[in-house]
Amino acid sequence: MDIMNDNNVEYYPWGGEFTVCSPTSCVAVVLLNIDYTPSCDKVAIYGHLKTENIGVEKIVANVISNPYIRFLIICGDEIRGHKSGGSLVALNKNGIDKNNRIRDAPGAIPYIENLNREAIERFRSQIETIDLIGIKNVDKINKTIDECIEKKPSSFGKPYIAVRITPEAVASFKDKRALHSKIIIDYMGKVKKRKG
Amino acid sequence: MVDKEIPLIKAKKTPEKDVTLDPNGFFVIEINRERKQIHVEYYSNVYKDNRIVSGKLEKVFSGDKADALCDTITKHVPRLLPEHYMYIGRELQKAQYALEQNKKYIQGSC
Repeated sequence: MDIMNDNNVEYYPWGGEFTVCSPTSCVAVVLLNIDYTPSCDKVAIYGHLKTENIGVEKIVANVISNPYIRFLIICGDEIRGHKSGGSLVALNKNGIDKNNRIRDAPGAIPYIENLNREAIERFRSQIETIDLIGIKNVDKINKTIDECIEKKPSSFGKPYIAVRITPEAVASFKDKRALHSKIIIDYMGKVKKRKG
Repeated sequence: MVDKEIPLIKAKKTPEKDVTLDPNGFFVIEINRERKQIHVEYYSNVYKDNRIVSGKLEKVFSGDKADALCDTITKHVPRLLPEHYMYIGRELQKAQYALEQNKKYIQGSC
């Protein structure tokens, strides 16, 4: 099922392993090392984050495509080595430097290579990250989701599509005769043998 | 009398520490359960200080069968290391099994 917004643009264009829930909810949940399923009635989207580079990029591209999402709750134990949760928080707080590295990110290789600076600024403006890294208490996370919803923030406006994956154009030759190297078709549509 | 001797080579897994990263890029394989598709992203390597730190997304492949994905990837991403193609084949077969059996798929290392 494609999730379309008011402008008939598909939300969450990059794809990835996440679960799509209520399209107009203001909350998205990033799961680190945690076995928890947010209530689909309350959140727009949730999924796991693994890496501090491409994983972070996918989250940014997908959440800014849905302007209703205004809060990104990051919960569970940090991913060892990658420190992707901390890197996502750092991106929202600090942006990237001239080498595309997330400023002050704790991860080993927190580089943003597939998003332009405008997309990152949009992420920083549209989204407030809620840092629950290290927290696995489900009641605490659910309470935070409720608190975000109670704020009733407005939509950020138009979707921002940072990455678009376009189906390949495929040529269709229904008349296979035209592909045969030993024949030609004249202007009357008559099939003739090619000379030589 | 023996006309010809053929070597029998015992299989040995290359330890992960000895695996050569492919200079032509890497793949991320995921399952889209809603669309019942395997989603394969091909990235070219991004180097900083002579080490691979990330990738540029170059192509995305989608399908529900490992054989079709293998054939298509081979056609669209030439010149990978042979062991990389074989790794992709193994992983796509695992992904197809996980998709069909509704099991969790985690992309493995080389």
